[in-house]
Amino acid sequence: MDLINPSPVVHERRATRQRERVTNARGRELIDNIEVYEHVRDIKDPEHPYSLEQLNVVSEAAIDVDDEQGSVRVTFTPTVEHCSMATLIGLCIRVKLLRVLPTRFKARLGRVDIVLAPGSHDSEAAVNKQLGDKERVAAALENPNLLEMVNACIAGAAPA
Amino acid sequence: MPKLRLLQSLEGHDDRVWHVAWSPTGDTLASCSGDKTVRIWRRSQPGSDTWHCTAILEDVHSRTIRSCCWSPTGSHLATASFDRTVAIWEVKGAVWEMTTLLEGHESEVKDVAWSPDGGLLATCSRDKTVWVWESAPGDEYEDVKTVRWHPGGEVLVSASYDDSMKLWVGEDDEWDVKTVRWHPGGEVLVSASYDDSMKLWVGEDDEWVCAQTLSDGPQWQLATTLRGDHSRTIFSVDWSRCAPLIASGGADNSICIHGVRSLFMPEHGFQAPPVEKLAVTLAHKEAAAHASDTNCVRWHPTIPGLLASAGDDGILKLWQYDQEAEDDAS
Repeated sequence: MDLINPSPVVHERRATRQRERVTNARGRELIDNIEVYEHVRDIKDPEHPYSLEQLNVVSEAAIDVDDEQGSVRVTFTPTVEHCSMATLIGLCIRVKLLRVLPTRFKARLGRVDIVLAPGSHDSEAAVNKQLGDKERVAAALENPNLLEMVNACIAGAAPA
Repeated sequence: MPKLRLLQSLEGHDDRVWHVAWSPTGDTLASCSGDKTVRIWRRSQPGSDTWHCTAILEDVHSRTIRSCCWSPTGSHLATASFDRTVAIWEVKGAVWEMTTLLEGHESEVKDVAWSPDGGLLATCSRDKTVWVWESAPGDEYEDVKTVRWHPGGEVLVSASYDDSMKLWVGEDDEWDVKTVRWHPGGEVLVSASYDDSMKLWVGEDDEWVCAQTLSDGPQWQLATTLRGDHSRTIFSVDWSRCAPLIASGGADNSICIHGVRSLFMPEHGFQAPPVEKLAVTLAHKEAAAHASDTNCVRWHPTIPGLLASAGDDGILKLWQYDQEAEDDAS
């Protein structure tokens, strides 16, 4: 099978960033973009044995979190603009967050938004629409083959 | 005193509840879920205010049951599933039996609706087709017509149905339209879409029995757009048959009750008012109606103010909307 992007640029996996924990008035430690990044950076690319971090598909700066509002927005950038895996990558990010985030983030869709970086994909609007459609996502996760692919990616990239 | 009182939470589904449907007389409530089952709910005793599950319809659909619809007599229930099939269930006494499985759609079936006389069943699917099935003797159903979406995507296509019919449309100008409900009188249509708005449409002649473009035009006028009541996608809207009210529910977990002031005036019956007089105002917002998305809201067919809702939290809720309290407060 021909690869969509035969030779992607691979970056180093960076050390986990240490930062000051912020708590709210009720003493709950707030989830921030760095924590969400930790959840998604090791997701494996569907096509390569590299993580989304190594391929610069996700970055800390492209994750917006508002814990008090219960909203997360992950903006991801495929390695090539015609990447046919974009929807699958977005689905993997969504499913991973669905499994790890507290329910206040509406991880069963709703306030977790997974979108392509503007201008990063030929079919940006179509992919975003599909990733935002609750029924499409629910149906996709009932497809055993697709779910297997998603689980394989979420299981992570092989250690370098 | 809250205007919208929670009467009861009905628990039992193991996954999100997508849809609820009152039987025509309102003595039974059906709910369908991502857990691949339908639950049938009835009053614990005749006249009782508490409801309980009396039957579970299972082992037919292998994927999410997205929608369900009662036949006009209440003797049958049709269920639409992501497994590409539509099942017809028959109840005799308290015993439910699946009598027919309709196969033909190539992708997830999203919705199903009976014609008012029960002779036809319409189904729509992600395969971009609407099928109309005709019931034949002996629980047989034949597909009589396939209707395709207009390639342009912004056009509504459907078969001819009146008030109780529910239609799905592709896209309006920019966004998916997720749901459409006729006013009981049939002259006004309400739609909800992914842009967090509700739109009311008024038809100006009787020609809407055939496919029409639901964009502002000579035959259909966009009467009003309601924006700002819901902060996220609206998944469900429903007209009350007993009061001038519209209920809506959405991804912001809320239920909104909208008053339609100039509609349902007793002297006018169900007649639609002129477009410019169709005034819809937010009467009440229940912000945390469900712990997660509110997927469906349905008014009871005969009891004013009784509302059923279903959510991603797997729970059905029965509410009583008290319009008196509303009027006292204002």
